[in-house]
Amino acid sequence: MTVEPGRRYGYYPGCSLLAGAREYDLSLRAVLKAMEIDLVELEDWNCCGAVHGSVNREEAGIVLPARNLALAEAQGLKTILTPCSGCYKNLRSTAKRVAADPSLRATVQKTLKPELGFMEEIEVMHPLYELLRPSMLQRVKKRIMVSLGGLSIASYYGCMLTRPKDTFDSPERPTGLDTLVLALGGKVVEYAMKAKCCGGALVLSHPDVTARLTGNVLLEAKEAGADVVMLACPLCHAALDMYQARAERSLGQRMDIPVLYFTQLMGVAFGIELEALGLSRHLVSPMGELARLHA
Amino acid sequence: MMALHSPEERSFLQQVLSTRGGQLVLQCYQCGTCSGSCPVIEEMDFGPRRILHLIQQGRETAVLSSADMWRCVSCYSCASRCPQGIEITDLMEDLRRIATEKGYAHDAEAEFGQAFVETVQMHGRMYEPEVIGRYFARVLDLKALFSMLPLGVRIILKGKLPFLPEGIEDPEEIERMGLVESVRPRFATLLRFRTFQRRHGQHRDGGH
Repeated sequence: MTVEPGRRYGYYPGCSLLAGAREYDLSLRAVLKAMEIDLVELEDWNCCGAVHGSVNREEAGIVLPARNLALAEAQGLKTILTPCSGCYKNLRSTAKRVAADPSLRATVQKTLKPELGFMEEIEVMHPLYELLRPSMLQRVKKRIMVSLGGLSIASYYGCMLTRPKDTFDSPERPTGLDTLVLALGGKVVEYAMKAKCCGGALVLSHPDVTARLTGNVLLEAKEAGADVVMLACPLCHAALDMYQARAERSLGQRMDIPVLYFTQLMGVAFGIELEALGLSRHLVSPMGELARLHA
Repeated sequence: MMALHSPEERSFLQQVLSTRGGQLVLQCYQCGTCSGSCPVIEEMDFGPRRILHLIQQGRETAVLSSADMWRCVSCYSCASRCPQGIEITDLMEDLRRIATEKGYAHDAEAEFGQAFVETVQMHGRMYEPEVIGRYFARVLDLKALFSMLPLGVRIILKGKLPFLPEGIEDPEEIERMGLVESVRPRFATLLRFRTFQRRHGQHRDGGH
């Protein structure tokens, strides 16, 4: 299945995109609109449970994401775009598990309200890999108005975008975000930590762990010559942007490196207004680096 | 192998084998790829390789009272590299549940998990101010709370913390899933006000 102009696309924003990561939602919508791709937000969607859904009851960890898939089916949405890597992993693996296991399907069915059901497998996609399909990437390139040529971009993949292993990218040496950087005319920064964990999962309970892991990622990117970091997950963004000051304290080193969603850099390249991309919402301002592009 | 176990040890091993993440634990031959791949190994008491070995031996107390499953960052590095195909990351999630059920869970991350599912059961969606409130009400860690304040202020000024929760239309649909036995309402009950509003004053019986 491919993204085509004029086609109806299901959209599961996930909780973060309504709150801390609203700029991811804004920029994704703006970019797809510029490409004439229709997004239909799933009505009445619920939290996917992150890694906590099953902490008291095993079944709850699967019924929670499954309700969204049943809603998609009821609303006639066959493919769902899921920009948060955590939601993406939960919804995608749930869709596959429920399709493959009739007894699990029956368990899920019992908990959902009777009018919701599972007749077909919903396709859950991360928007990055939809946009990287060859025909789509051509369309992206045609839409570019501002060259990112002056910008050295360190792609950061984090974890659940490429792990558990799936068909779209390598869990060890992923290349998807770098392919996009090249398409947008930016400079790819090679560094070893691009698929290592930022520790975002422990951000409240063990913030020192988050600060240490995040610091390692940012420092490597910085030393490899990155002007900015580009990523595709709201939890990674919270760690790399919001906890950057804490990471700097833990390393005893200033980094001051802006962290952007891939959709924001696409928007910049498309010539979309910076405000419409939520670029003023980051704690580490990217405005200085972006100003150079127009100079 | 099973014959060498005491009944208690056997029962713990059986319990782990019955989980999705743990069904292949007996296939582990201790190569250590998991522990070598783990980004938080230094935060753990044993690390994944030794946890797998302890499970094979049925050592419930050692496994469940360790910090390991609470320090796991769910990065899936171990699972994606395991030559035996053991779903170690999912196993850590299963161990969190077993530890909680048997009363071993004391880590701050265990409290965060409860604060998280309570909030989700309440609204059907995440609501950060409530999770943070519930978390600190559980751990009563004032030092950590104060250390968060400067960041908290910056986040609020950037509009990154929502003032009101977004809920699903009928939170009872989530309650039926039983994420948590009962939500201790604490100060957050009033926050459902908006959900009530959206349901046009429909009467809800049951609840808490």
